[in-house]
Formats: sequence, structure tokens, C-alpha cells
Amino acid sequence: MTATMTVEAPWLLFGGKLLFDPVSRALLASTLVIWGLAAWSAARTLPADERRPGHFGFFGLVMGGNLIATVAGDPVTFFLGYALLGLCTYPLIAYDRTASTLDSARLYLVYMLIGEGLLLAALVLSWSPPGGGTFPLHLDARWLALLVLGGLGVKAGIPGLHSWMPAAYRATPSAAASALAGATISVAILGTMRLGLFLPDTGVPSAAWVLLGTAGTLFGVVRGLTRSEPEHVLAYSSVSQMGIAITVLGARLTGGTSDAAVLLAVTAFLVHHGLAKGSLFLGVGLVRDGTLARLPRAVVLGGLGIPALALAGLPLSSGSLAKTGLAEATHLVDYLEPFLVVSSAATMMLMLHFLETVVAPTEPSPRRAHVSAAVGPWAASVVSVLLAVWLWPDFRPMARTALRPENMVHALWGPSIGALIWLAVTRTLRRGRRGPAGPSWVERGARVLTARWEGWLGRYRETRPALRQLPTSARRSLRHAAVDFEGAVGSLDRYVGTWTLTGTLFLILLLALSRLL
Amino acid sequence: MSWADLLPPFILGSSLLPGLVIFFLPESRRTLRTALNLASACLKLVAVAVLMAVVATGGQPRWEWSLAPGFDLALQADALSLLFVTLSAGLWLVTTVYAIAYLEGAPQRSRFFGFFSLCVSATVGIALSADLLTFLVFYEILTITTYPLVVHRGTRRSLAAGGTYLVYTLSGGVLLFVGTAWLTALAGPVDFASGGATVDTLIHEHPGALRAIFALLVAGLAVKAAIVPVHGWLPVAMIAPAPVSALLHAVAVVKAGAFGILRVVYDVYGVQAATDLGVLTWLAGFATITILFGSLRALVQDDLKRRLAYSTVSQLSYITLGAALATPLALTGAVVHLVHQGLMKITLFFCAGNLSETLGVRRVSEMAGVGRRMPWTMRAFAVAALGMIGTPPIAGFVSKWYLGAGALSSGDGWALAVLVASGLLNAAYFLPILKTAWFEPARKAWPVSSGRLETSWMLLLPPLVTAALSLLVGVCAGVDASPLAWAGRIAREVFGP
Repeated sequence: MTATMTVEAPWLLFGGKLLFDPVSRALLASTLVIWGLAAWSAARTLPADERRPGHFGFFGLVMGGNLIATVAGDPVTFFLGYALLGLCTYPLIAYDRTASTLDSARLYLVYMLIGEGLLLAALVLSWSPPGGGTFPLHLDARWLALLVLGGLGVKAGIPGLHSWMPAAYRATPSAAASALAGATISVAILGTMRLGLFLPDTGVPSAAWVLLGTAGTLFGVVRGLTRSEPEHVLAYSSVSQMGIAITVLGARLTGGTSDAAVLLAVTAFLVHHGLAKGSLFLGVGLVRDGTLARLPRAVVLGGLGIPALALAGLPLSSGSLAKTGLAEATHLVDYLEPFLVVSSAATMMLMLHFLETVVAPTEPSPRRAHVSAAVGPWAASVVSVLLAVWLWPDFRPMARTALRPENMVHALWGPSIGALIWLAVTRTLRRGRRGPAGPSWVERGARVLTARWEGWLGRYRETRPALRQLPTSARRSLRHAAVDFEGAVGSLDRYVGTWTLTGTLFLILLLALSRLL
Repeated sequence: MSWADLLPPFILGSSLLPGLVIFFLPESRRTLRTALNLASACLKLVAVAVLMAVVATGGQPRWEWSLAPGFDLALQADALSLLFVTLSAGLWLVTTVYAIAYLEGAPQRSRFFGFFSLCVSATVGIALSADLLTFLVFYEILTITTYPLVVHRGTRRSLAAGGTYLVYTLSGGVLLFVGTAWLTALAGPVDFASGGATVDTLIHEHPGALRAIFALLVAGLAVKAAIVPVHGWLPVAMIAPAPVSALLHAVAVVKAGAFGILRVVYDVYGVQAATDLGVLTWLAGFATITILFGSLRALVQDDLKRRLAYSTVSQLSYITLGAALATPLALTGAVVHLVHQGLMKITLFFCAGNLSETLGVRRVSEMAGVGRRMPWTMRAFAVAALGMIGTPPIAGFVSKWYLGAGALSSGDGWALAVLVASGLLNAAYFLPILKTAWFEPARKAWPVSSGRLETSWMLLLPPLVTAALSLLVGVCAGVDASPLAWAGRIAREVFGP
């Protein structure tokens, strides 16, 4: 199954093109699974009130945008899907209509609109009329790469552009959040691959991408460890996981790797991440509405633990397939091997922290009244995490490699190190403490470690009120400037409005013209 | 003279004569007036379709009528004029339906619909003008026939607004007149079909005079096209009844200005001469300032129609900007935006009219929760507003994309930045409206609807049709019969394949 198929739709916009290659095929399938499970869960959990039809309407639109962007074969079609997905997500986040959800949704939308503006500029820049260009586009300038990065980085949550993510995932009902966090985020990385962001033509050195990706990977984990809301932890985990994808894609520039193999491995990674993250969000939804409290603890831990540990890349999990794939595809880049081990260890710590936050009693959610029967979709999602990537035909070679004994042993390293560190740290620091109240140990440790980060990036919580003031004050000064100008124009209006002046002016003008003629 | 040559005057007359008849109908003859209005609007649309078929098969219908020795009124159909005629004929029909419902029971309807028809006739005359002189005549007629529509309510405010409108547009008319007279004195009658050949022969002898004439012509047109700093009449004129505002902002007056600028740049001067004279840079500069200024002003307006009016100021200059960038892609974007902006803006004004007519809502701050009470109106509004922002696949995205690509192909990357910035500003003043309407709870109980629908079907249908069209022309931009394909054809005629 390596054949590539394109479907042309010349009537659509400036000539639409759909591309079905191993990359889009796998993502299309996983996207459908994630959205299908999310829809199943939403149908079971959302109360039958007046918001329900609208929620499902936009649910469908976002899914449609997601699917279009996934199989898009040219920049315009991709933008069509991406913009649809980006805009229609707002009502999903704003579902509750409370002030804080509306705030989260607005924060999201502002980021997304700026991102889409940048992306639009980049796509127009790289479009070749008429008939539309084909992928991959060859970007020829670093600043063009910057536009694409800014445009898609918002959705992928690269550090600095990620601030909307935790708030948005917390505000969105869990079913929709599982689709947003699982499926839509992959579109951003897919877009960077399709648009050739990580090609030598951009003139951006490999090291820049690797640094950016590594920063994202570590930043996500460290910030996630300081949070106690499960949705926030998962959001930071996404920041971290997308960092891994960026690092690998950037490292490919160093040479010695096969493009097709790297792209396929990154695809497997996105599929694995999407399914696991989607499943975790469905699980968090069940924690929030109190359903999991009624299930046996082993079931709960198993159901949440399987996707969580898959993200860390435990042997036999989907993560081990994805990470072995990444390592295999980039085996000539020597620093990636230790990077992947470290990232696995870090993810393991974050996931253990996540499990701790969900198993610890959380505040009851406002949606608690509608106790769900959404265990079905959640269970199905866990099964999909267990099996999907192993069964997908295009990933077979990676599966065989991952199942080799030496690779399975190798895959144990990262998670074991992570687990040991986490256990050691929590044990030591927790000794002598009474009661579960207060931030966990790891949280406090990580806070100390991240003080520096907090200084310029992570402090957004503290600076947000000020930032929120900023648009208001900027708007105010803009308004003053515009009013002043308008005032000046208005007084001009009044002068022009007096016929005497106008008449005189025309007389002078006519005299002057008669001289010229 | 073949029968096809009579099509342009027939299309003109199809609204002119019924308009004149309507003046003499007593107020009480509602059915006859309505029938006459709708029949003539449909007849015009059919005639336009026939004309389109004639032009598509290579015909060039032309009709001349000598007013005085050396002064002929000449009508001719080419690709650009047909595009504008189709737009005005199509939107006239929906606006007529809307106006009939909107003015139900209001006084002075015969006067209103009489001038309404004359106004459209003048617009069609502008579109079909074959030379600068004919254009000037219809341009002035348009000014005069629109005035009674602006002041229709007869209140002090609307009379004052009408005064402002007249001062601006008549001053603009004088400038245009002087420019036309001067150019005719220099070069003889200026036929649009020559594509600038007349001016080309003079460029070495009279470059200064040609620049001055360009400034006069464009300044005259800029008043109607609402280019800063002569835009002041437009936000004031929104006092007019909603159907008038809709027609004013989408087809008739402002478009006449933008269309005139296209004619002057491409058919009077020609791209080469205009570029050589260096006048296009100035035009682009003014357009840019207008785009940003209009958006910034729109941001702070609470009155819905005022916000829409400033949005028109901004969006219209996309057309001027595209004309000034002078590349095939930019011209395509400019011409297609003529149609796209019309469809989207008329939808927005219809919706604003529905809100004020049905619920008495005129301010953005009063719109909380209005989405639940008038869902279809607000859906149409949302489509048009998102289109204005430039969201694919709605019409505005297509215009913006071509304008942006056109900017790059002429080496003016800054214009792309302007378009993106303007898109963000559009989002900043349109999205809060949508949020208020859909996501905030209603602050008071709305007046209950009398029928099954949220308002009269004749008020509801027009915005739904135009919103659907905005979506359709965007999604199917790649089809041969789309406005985009048509605009591309016009650009190819100007620049060669």
C-alpha cells in the first residue's frame, strides 16, 4: 500500500486537489477513529438542551475541516480545511457560555486568527497561478519559513504560541477536547511537512529546528509537572510531544536520512499520539463527571494507564512502535538516540504525574449532574490505542522492528529512567508529609527548576491580566488616534460643506484650467 | 443595426420606463406597483442573460444616440460592463423584493420606488457607457436620483445627511466634469473600447496635463468610491432606509465610483500610460490608507449600520488597490471583488435592516442573544461577515487571495501585509458581533414573531439568497461561469493572455 492517488476538483476554489498517500491515508483513518469516538461520547454525555444542536453542528464543521486539511493536496485546499477547523473550534470551546470559557475561547481565537493571517500570507507567497501549486512547495526564504511556522505553530503549540492550549482544553467538553487534542493538532504538523517547512530550501539550519523542538519537548514536560488540572497536564504533554515531532523533522536536514521513511515514521508518531491523547481526554471526561469513581480502581488505572504509558513509549505499546520508527528512520543522526531516550523518560514522569492528578480527588465538574454512559467510547478508544498502529498495513515494517527483542529492551530504558526518577523524587520528598493536600513534590521541585522559564514564557498566568489590558489600551489609543483624524477630516468636511468655499475653489480651479487649455 | 444592438438601451429602459410610470401611480395601487417593479426587474435580468449570450459568442452590441452635434450617448457591452450590469440587475431584483416588504405601510412608496428604478437605470447606464462623456452623464444622473432615496424619511437628520451627500457627490461630479472636458479638449472623444490608445499618443507631449486630468477624474470618482479623505458622506448616509443602504453600499453609488476608477485606469489611460505617468503609486497609497482607516473606524462604532458603512469604506478600496497594482492577478482580484463585495455587503445590510425592522435593534450592544430569536438572519450575517474577513471558501477569500497574489506579482509585498492586517481588523470588528449575537444571553424578551418565521419571508429570503450566493461563488470559483473566471477573462483582455 504505497501507491499515491490524487483526486482533482477543478471547480473548487482555484482548483482543489486531494492527495491520498501513505501519510494522509494513515492520518485520515486515525482522524476518523478519533472523531468517531468523540462523537459517540458527545452523544452520550451532552445534555439535551438548546446548546446541543449547535455543538454538534460545529463539531461536524471542525471535523470536516480536519478531514479536508488532512487529505489536502494543494495549499489552497489545505488552508480551506485549516481555516474551517480553526474558526469553528471557537464555539466548541465556548460551549459553557460562562465568562471564563468565553475568555478561553477568545484567547484561542486571537492566537488562531493571527496564525491564520500569517499562514495565508505564506501560502499566497508560495502559490503559483494559475491552476494552483502542488505539494511540496519550495519555500525559498527564511522569513517565509517563519510565516509558516508562526501560522501552524499556534495550532501545534510550539513554546511561546501555546498559551491558549491548556485553557481551551479545560473549557471544552471532554468529547470535543479529545478530538481537538488528538486529531486537529496533527494537522499542524502535517501542514509543516506538506509545505516543506523542514526542507533545506528554507535556509533554516537543522540546529534551529532541533533546538526549537527540544525546547518544546522539555518545556512541555516541566510546565506540565507544575500543573494539577489533568487537562492542563495533557495540554503541556501535547506541547512536549509536538516538540519531539519538530526535533525529528528538523534533524532530517542533517542528511543521511530517507525522507519518505522519516515522514512515515512521523506519521506513525502522530497517529499514535492522537489516539492516545484522544483516549486520555475521554477518560478525563469520565473522571470529571464522576463515572470513573464508580468503576473498579484496576479498570480505571488500566484504562488511563494504557494510553498514558503508550505516550511514554513502553515496549509493546503504540509509542514503542512510533519511537522505534523515528529512531530507525533517523539512525544516522547520532544525537537523536539519546534525545528520544530522554524525551521518553520525561514523558514517563509527566504521565505518572497525570495519573496522580486524575486518581487524586478532583473538584466536581459543573457537568456532574449529567452522569454519563460514555464508558463505551472510552473503552473502544483504549482498544484502538492497543491495536491500531500495529494493524495498519503501512506501519508493518516499523512494527516488525519494534518487536525485535533488542529494540524492546531498548524501549524500556527511557520509561524506566523516568519512572525511577519520579518515584525516587516523590518518595524522598514526600517522607514526613501528612495528608495529600498541597502541591505534589514533583510539582514543587519542578516549580523551582522552572523559575527561569516562568520568567519569560511560563509566567503568562501572572501577566495575562496585564496582557488582556494591552489590547484594551491599544484599542483605546487607536480609537483616540482615529477619532482625532476623523475629527480633522470632519472639520475639513465642514469647510468643504460650505458652498462658498467649494464654489470659490472651483472658480479658481476653472480659471487655472482655462489658462492651461 | 441588428436587434442585438438594441439590447443595451432596452436594458436601460427596462427600469427607466417602469420607474417613470410608478411616479404617477397613486399610493393605494400597491399590487400594480409591486407587479410592475418585479416584472421589470425580471425582464431586465432576462435581457441581461440574452446580452451575455450575445457577447459570449463574440458580438459587441453598440447603440448611439445623438444628443447634440458632437455629443453622442453611446452604450456598449463588453466583459467588464456585463459583469457590473449582471450584478446590478441581479441585486436589484432581490433588493426590490426586500424593499417591498420593508416599506410595507410606509408613506410615499410611489416616490420611493420611482427613484429606486431611476437609480438602477443610472447604474446600468454607467455600466454600459461606451465613452467617458456618456459615463459622466449617467454618473451625474445617479447622484441626483439617489438623493431622494437618502432623504426618504424626511426627518431633519436624514435631510442633513442628504445635504452632506449632495455636497460631496456634486463636488466630485464637478471634478469629474472638468477632467472629462479637459481630456476631451486634448484628445477628442475618449472611447473606452480604445483601451487607452488615445492617451498613449499624448503621453510625451502633455505628461503634466495628463497627470492633472487623472487626478481630477479619480478625485471625482473617489468621492463615490469613498476613498479617505472624501469618504465622509457614506457613514452619514446610512440614515437612509435599509434597502437604500443595501443598494448604495453594494451596487449603485459606491460601485459606480470603483467601476469608474477601473474604467479610467484601464480603458481611458491604459495600464502602460498610467504606469509611465506614475499615478498608480498614489492611487495605491490612498487605497491603502482607506483600507486601514475604514477598518479602524469600524472597530469603534456601536451603531451596526455605521460599522457596516466604515467596513464598506475599507472593503471598496480593495478594488481601487487591485486596480492600482496593475497586474493581471490584481486586476482579477479587483474586478471579482466588485461582485463579491456587493453580494456580501448587501447581505449584511439586509440583515441589519431585519434586526431593526423586526426587533428594533440598531446597535451592536443591543444584539446580545439575537441569534436565538432570528437564527436565519444571523446565519446569513455570519456567512457574509466571515466572507468579509476572508474565510475560505466564502467569496471574500477568493478576492483577497487574488489581490494578495497580484500584489506579489507586481513586487508590492507590502500590499499583502495590508490585506492580512485588514483581514485581522475585519475579524476584530465582525467577530464580536457574532459573539454577542450567539453567545451572550438576551437581556430582554424579544417581541414575539407573528408568523412561523422569525420575520416576514420577503425580508428573510433576500439575505438568505445573497448569503448563499456569496458562499456559492466562493466554493465554485473554479467553474467557468464563476465571477472569478469572468474577472480572469477581463484581465486577459487587458493584459493579453
